[in-house]
Amino acid sequence: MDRHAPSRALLGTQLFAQVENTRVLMVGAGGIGCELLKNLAMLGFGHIELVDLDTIDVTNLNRQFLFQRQHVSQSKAHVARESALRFNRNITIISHHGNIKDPQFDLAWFKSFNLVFNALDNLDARRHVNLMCVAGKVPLIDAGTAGYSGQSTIIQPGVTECYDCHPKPTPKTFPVCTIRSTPSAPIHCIVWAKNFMFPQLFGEDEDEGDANLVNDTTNAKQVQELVREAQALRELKRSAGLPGFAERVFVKIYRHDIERLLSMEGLWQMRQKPVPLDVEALVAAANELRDPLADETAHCRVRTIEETTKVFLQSTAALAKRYAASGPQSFDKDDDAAMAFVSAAANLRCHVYHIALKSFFEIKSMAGNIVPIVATTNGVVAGLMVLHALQVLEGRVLETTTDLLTAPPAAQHLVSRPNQVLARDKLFPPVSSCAVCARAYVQVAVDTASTTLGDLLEAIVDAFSVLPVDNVTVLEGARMLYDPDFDDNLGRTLADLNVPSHHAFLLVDAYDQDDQLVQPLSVYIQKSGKKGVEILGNVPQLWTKPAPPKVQDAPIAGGDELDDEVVMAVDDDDEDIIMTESSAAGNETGHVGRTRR
Amino acid sequence: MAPDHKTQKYDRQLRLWHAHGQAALEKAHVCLVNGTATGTEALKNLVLPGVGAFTVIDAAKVSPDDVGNNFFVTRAHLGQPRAKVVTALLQELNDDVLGHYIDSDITPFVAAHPRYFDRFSLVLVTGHVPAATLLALDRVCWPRGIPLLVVKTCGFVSTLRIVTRAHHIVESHPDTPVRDLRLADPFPELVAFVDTFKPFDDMTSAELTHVPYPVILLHLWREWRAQNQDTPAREFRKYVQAEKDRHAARLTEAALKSLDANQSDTAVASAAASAADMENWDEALKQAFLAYTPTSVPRNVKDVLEHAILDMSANADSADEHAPVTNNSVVANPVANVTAGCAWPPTFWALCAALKSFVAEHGRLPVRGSVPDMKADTATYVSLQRVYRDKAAADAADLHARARAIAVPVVATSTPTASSASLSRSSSVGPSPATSPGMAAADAASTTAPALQIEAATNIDLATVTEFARHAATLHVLSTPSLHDEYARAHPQWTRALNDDPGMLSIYVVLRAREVFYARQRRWPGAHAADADADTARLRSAARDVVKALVAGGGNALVMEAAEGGADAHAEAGIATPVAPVVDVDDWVQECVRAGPAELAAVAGYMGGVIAQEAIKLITAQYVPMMNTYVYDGIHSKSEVLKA
Repeated sequence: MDRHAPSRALLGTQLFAQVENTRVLMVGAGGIGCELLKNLAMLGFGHIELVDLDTIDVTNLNRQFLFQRQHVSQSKAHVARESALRFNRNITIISHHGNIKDPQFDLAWFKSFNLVFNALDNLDARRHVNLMCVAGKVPLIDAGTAGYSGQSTIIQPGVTECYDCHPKPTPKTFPVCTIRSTPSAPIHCIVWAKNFMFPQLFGEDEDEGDANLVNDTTNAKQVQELVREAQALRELKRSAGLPGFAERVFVKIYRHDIERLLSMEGLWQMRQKPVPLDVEALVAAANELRDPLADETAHCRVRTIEETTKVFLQSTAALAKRYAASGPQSFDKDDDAAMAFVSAAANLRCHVYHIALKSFFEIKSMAGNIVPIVATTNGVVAGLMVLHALQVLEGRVLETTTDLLTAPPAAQHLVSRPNQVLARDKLFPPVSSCAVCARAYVQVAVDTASTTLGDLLEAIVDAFSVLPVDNVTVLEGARMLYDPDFDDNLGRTLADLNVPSHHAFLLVDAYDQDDQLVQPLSVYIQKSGKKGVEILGNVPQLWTKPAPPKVQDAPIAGGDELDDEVVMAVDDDDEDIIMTESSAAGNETGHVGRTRR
Repeated sequence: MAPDHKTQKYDRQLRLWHAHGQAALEKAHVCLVNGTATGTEALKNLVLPGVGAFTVIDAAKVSPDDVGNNFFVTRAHLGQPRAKVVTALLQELNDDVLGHYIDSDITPFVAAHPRYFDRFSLVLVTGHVPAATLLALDRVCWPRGIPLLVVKTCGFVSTLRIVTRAHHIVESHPDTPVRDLRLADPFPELVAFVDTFKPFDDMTSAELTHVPYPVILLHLWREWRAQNQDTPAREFRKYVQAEKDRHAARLTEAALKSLDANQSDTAVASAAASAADMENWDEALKQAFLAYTPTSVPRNVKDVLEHAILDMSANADSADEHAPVTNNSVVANPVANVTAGCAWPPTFWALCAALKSFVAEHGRLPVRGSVPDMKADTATYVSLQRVYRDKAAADAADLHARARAIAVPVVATSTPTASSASLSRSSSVGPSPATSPGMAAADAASTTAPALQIEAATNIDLATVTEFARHAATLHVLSTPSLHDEYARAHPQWTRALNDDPGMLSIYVVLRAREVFYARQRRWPGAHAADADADTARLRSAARDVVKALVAGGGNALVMEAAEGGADAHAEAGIATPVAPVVDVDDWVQECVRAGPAELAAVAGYMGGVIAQEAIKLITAQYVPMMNTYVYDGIHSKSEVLKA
């Protein structure tokens, strides 16, 4: 019996044959991923590979239907594969439990697919897949959902805009002083608890964090105070796991630190002064209480200060014990102890600063950047993705669109603009200034141990005649490797220079003799055992055009530029985190802002 | 220490519809007619978030086509009852959900057991169902107030029609948050609060830069209006700007003066800096229009307050159309069903009657009681919040009293103690001296016994009323025509589109034409590939008839009459044809014949999402569902909402 008879009938023999012979990659096996895998399997896609680094969490079960309770904490990729195969054995599904940025997923691997689907929930991984697809000229369908809204877009490299053509909204950041000394809103206290207190107490030891503060703060005395405060905390951390630790932290951060801040008169001229907690009384009262978390119905209301103190002491002790036993911890919104700590620590601080307290539920939303997600929207979006894929296979891309699904929440909206249920946007050509689309890409195979930068440069300049040998700049990320005035590295091997050989690009920028701008080139280094430099595939033609009046040679997108230090910044509203769902194939750095220089 | 498993599992969706929305979902019982790919997808999207129960009604046996387009069924299920198979597989997805199935065809079932549908909160029909059966379901669901969702799919195209008699929404979650400050019509307590501030000219820099903007606006408006009675209100903004500039200059000057007085540099710098930081005044400038824009009762709320249910005569009218039974006990059941699984208590309409009388007396809606974030010092902001909160509480208490009063006569007439005693007797005893229009309406509603009626609110608690009052500005009621109405009536709103550019209306036409085809041929078009050309011609002719019926009415006859064996010509002759636009539907006719009864998994997945999304909006009574026919074209990724 032919399981794909309906598909064959509806798609027609020709398109169906294409579908059967198409190799597709799905990045992310979460909410959208589960739906997508089902659709791809049903339609008859013959070869599907999926990558996801996540394991299954209980909060996934309300929508990720390929997973059930017994699968919790197993690999999403593997379980999704097994569940899908239970229903359809006639297709090939290969699952990878790993980070899409791992070296094994190199450019050659990406290029082995006819079509890539992004079903990811974080900016960093989405941008990485986008870069690899543009570099490898593989069509990409990118999608995301948030609440009742969602979207699916076709990215046809060189033809349409890519994911990076428009800068993504930068997450909101807060001045460090606001977070550390003068909070005035609940979010400030939550950021303090999650991004400062939690890592300080239970995270990796780090000293450079304080250096960042200096850049941000104009008041030198305040900075000194903050540095001293952090040092004292590090002292204290050495006793993590010992009895009385939680109480000592409590006294330090809600009495001593506040008292020290109060001593800085200048801070409080225009502000209401914080009031240190009556720590002894609260600890005594808390000791009388039973576990307040036992009552889950209270998650939606604001707990009393005594209850909150109890939660703080309990969770601090639990986390410290974990730290002592198994080393540095990182915040995870679905980790009960971590969430309990952040909610209690934030609320106690709110209390100190006369800020309205929030319920556990609300704090979890704000701290976890939790986007509301439902099965329905994922179903809609995954359906669109497959229909988009068919359009790509049929070569109908130019007439397709970004489909934006908005289920309008208000009737006025609906009645006046009824078509909004599925809004279509035109696909636009790449933005000329896009750091990803503007570049030409070439892949070279080198033996990094023996090939020098000079060898490589020579081979490149030979291959690209428009590149003027005396006017070329080579960068790796933001690191300058070579320019006409800096040739120290030419004799060093790539291995010696620490040039990574996967998903990193050397950026070659140049002006020719007549001050014409030459198309910037990204060189992808493929490690090979053979001596010499071999250019793989076709050599792209580089365009030239008159240089813009202002010279702008700021380093632009490579792969890893998001890995900057993260300090005291978070987004607190949905605006900043639109269109995300499904699964994490990378770290959630997309939600966190960076220090401004 | 761990939160209960439901809160955890449903964490991400609770952020969309909250605990009470979840409770409504968990109380709901959804009926799916036909376990098709689309129906299964939709049900899957309701089972995962935790709908209380579902029942699949389907007589089909699992066919190779099902295995081909429905992810949940496999070869091993071939030949088994489809209702049983999909129920078992869907049930596996969530052990909090109860699944039932009825291995029976909908057509005889609905005819034999109309009362069976009383238990459902929502009925979803998918697959190829004859229009006559759809209309029979409509006759069952409409008077009971059960939302009926009808999905028609053919290859890459699909439509979803929502049929709901009076769906009310308290929490519509508007895009932009509701701001309710009453600056143009301030209540006395607000005025009193503003009066506690000293004149701006006497304020220090710290004070002036922390006055909340509502206070600035109310204050300046009074000053300005006293001097400029004939100036158009929009000129007010200029005055706010001028005052801001004047105070800024004054404060900077003061800051410089303190420099002469030998103050420390930092103090001067900070004084100068805060003088420049007049964010609260900028907010006042931005919101200046609030000072002269009175808070009106929005259109959506007027629609609710003017709804037929709250109106005696309209109530009597609607009562005889669909609810011939005036026996008290029969009426009681449907009312229970209207609200089954609904997040809001059956007292919704009593609350609306109370709100109507509140608005009639005060000329305004209750104050919402929340204050947006603004630049202000904490103490002042908290006091301002309290002013609004107290007013909101007072308004809610007022509304509460009205709601309880309104309920009395309803209870008097519908309590079982009245039993078989005449309704007129109990209603004559009922009303208390404080009769309001709402009370009269409620009273009349109970005596005429419409299917939808105002339910008792005597015991309603203040918390519920408060929550209702908070949402008073965003109430909605959604009334669509019944399916019978849609088929029988002429659609003048579409005549122009049919003549000029039918667009996606042509998909609607062809899907309706399939039903006419079925009524004439007793099978669906394209089911036999050999008949392709003949089917195309027949379907085209049926489409012409549907277009005529859309212009002139009588479309219900097209799908009924043929049941007596009527031919095409017969049907055509039966319809008056004043203007019969020629609509080119050939592409879709061919597509329909080509696709036959097959479903495509991706389209089923897409529509399953859309359907479940609307179903959840209906069940939770949150967010505003689309109005009322959704047309999707998967070939061009297009969609449109048509108003039947």
